[in-house]
Amino acid sequence: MSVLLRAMLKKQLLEMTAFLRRNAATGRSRTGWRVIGFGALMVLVLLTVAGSVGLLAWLVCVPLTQAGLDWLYFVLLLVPAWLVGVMGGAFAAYGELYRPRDNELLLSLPIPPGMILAVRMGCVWLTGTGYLAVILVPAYGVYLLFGAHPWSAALALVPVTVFLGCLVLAAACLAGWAAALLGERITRFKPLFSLLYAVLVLGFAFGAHFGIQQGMIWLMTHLDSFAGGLRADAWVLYLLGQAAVGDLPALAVLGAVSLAVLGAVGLVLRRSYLRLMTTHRGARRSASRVGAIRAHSLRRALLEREFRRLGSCTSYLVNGMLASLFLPAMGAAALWKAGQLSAMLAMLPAGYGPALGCAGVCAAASMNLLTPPSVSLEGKTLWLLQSLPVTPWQALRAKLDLHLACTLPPAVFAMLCLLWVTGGSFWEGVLVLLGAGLYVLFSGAMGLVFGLRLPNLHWTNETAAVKGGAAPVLTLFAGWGVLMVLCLIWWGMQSVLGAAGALAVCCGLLGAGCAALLAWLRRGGCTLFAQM
Amino acid sequence: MLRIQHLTKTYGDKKAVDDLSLHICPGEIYGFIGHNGAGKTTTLKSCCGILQFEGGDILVDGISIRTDPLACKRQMAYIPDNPDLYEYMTGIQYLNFIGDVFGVPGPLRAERIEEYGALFELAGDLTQPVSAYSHGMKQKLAILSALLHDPKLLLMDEPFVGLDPKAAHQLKQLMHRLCDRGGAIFFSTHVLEVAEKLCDKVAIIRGGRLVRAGSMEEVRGDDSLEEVFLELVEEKEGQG
Repeated sequence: MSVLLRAMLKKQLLEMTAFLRRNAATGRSRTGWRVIGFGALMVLVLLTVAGSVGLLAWLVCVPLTQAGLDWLYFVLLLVPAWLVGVMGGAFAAYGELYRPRDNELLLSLPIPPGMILAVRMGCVWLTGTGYLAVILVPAYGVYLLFGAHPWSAALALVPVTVFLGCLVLAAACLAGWAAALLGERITRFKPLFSLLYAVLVLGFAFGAHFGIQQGMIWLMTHLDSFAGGLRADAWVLYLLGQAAVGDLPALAVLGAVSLAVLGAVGLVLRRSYLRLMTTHRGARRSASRVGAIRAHSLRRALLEREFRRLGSCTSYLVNGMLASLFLPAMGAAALWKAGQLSAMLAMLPAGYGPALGCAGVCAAASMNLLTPPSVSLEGKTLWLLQSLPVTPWQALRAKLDLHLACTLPPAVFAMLCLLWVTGGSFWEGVLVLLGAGLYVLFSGAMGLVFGLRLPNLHWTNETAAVKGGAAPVLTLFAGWGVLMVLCLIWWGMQSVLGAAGALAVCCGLLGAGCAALLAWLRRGGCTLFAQM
Repeated sequence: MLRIQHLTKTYGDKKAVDDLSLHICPGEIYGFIGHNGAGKTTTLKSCCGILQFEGGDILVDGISIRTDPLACKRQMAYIPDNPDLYEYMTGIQYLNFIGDVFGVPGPLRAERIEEYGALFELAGDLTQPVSAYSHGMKQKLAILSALLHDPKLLLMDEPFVGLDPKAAHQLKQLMHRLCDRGGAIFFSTHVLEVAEKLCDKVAIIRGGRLVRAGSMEEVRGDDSLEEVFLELVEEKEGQG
């Protein structure tokens, strides 16, 4: 049995760490300096996050420990740590507990299902605790330097991490289960729900970023009342904070509660896990009948194909449509805060308003990265387009059409809202609208150029095709780079030609850029696409 | 209908197809046989314009695939051995897409979808996403889509793999029907018994080179196709 357990643990750990050794984009092993480089990048990201947490922790630790509210310091950091652990752990639980691909293989081997569950849960615990540790470790590090009870806290670090990890695991298992059940029922709309979820998370992150400063100011001015209220109304959190400081009774209660919760979740899962492993409900069978069949033009058929691909791929939708959601919100926000915006713009010289608005819309529009991964997403189905009477230009144009259809209307809407607020002459208005439209075309064409130059057709999952490779990142940064250059040109020219004249120059340059990119796409791009 | 003239295709230093010449006439079912890696798929993909080739030419009804690939593709259909179709579409959406590409009018398209859908027993699954199809269902959908625009030339790479016996029988009947109407079929297969019964002509390829081609009687003689094939393969191995 111990040999079996060791084999299972080894297999599971190899699976968890596969992303370090294997390139998700190509499925091949990373070799040589790529392994070191990737590892170094991961370490850098971790250190950056931990450093940010450490800085925040320091800002909070000193005043709270001086006020004798060490427990509150830990509550303020452990609760977000637990949330982050649950979010990360839920994804791991979804993938490792409820949607693993090796269920049939493992069940065909002499391995008790309970052991499979235990090992998988162990790995989810490891993942969740890892996410937890990114906040816990710097939090404790700062406390050990500035806290009132560093030694007891140091002794409490490991047990708190373990027990909190168990609570993370329990919540992650339940969240993953809910996601798996929900996923089966909403298969058709899963990408849309994922996009909304991503927008919510982004919105929460933005809100938290801007709210933290105000929150901290409020907290420092209402410390005693807040701490008193929390202790009275949420004694569980007070207990958590005390346990983190090293209070033994609190630690014992935390341990007992976390193990009991985990045990309960484990028992429930154990009873149903074999059934979970072997039955996959699958998407509900569509009961619809084939409707009336209508012929469409080739251009429309190719565009519909692109839209269907967009709607079916979560990561493509999230990566490619952020601007489409953000731009209308930007326009609406501009109208809502029109008074404040107008007051700010009044401090700037005339003509700056429309140009700044245009730059903002263009910067936001460049976040729609639809064209860079569109070539890679053809993947193994590329043979279809190549064997059909479809020219490479017709196929590439459909990708550009998708980008324009998704980005141009929201960009125009946002621009019109901003123009309402900023005002400006008729020609300034026409030129900023033209400029925004040309920039949208330019960014789409540029993305397609990068996508053709840096394709990845041998991906093992769609997310790798969307996010992997350099094309999306290059498109984003090159787009911003071009925008900055145009802004500098406008700023240099507006004193000589006036705001409208400078805008006309920028539009001319953008137009020339678009023409050049489209010319390349029609010749070199088509050749590349045909030869793939 | 299909004339392959001195086709040469290389991958790096390796010649996948070396100076291959074949002529498939209207009304013929032409089998293409060879070991794994012989160059069958490369030849078929070159014929339907998926692969660019270095030497020779391929003419479909007298039109060169190099100079006018679209005109060639409008007359043919290709069915690969492993049909990677658009998983994010339903069966009917995929068929409509193919129909739009070939400009098949709506009523005619509906008629053919109904006919072939019933023939291959796929009609009830056309509203399901392709991602939910089994391999055999995807193969049937690929065949259905290939027949939608009534092609003159059908190129197939191991078309019977994954098909149930009834579907395989239906496909053979359709192949005969297409050829009776003046079309031509060029397909590769590993199942030599099927090739013997079905094909009017056969070509055997080894290491990218044609080793024998002609009518079934000419190639086979008094032996079975399997015996001839194995003899040719051993002969080449002996020479190598």
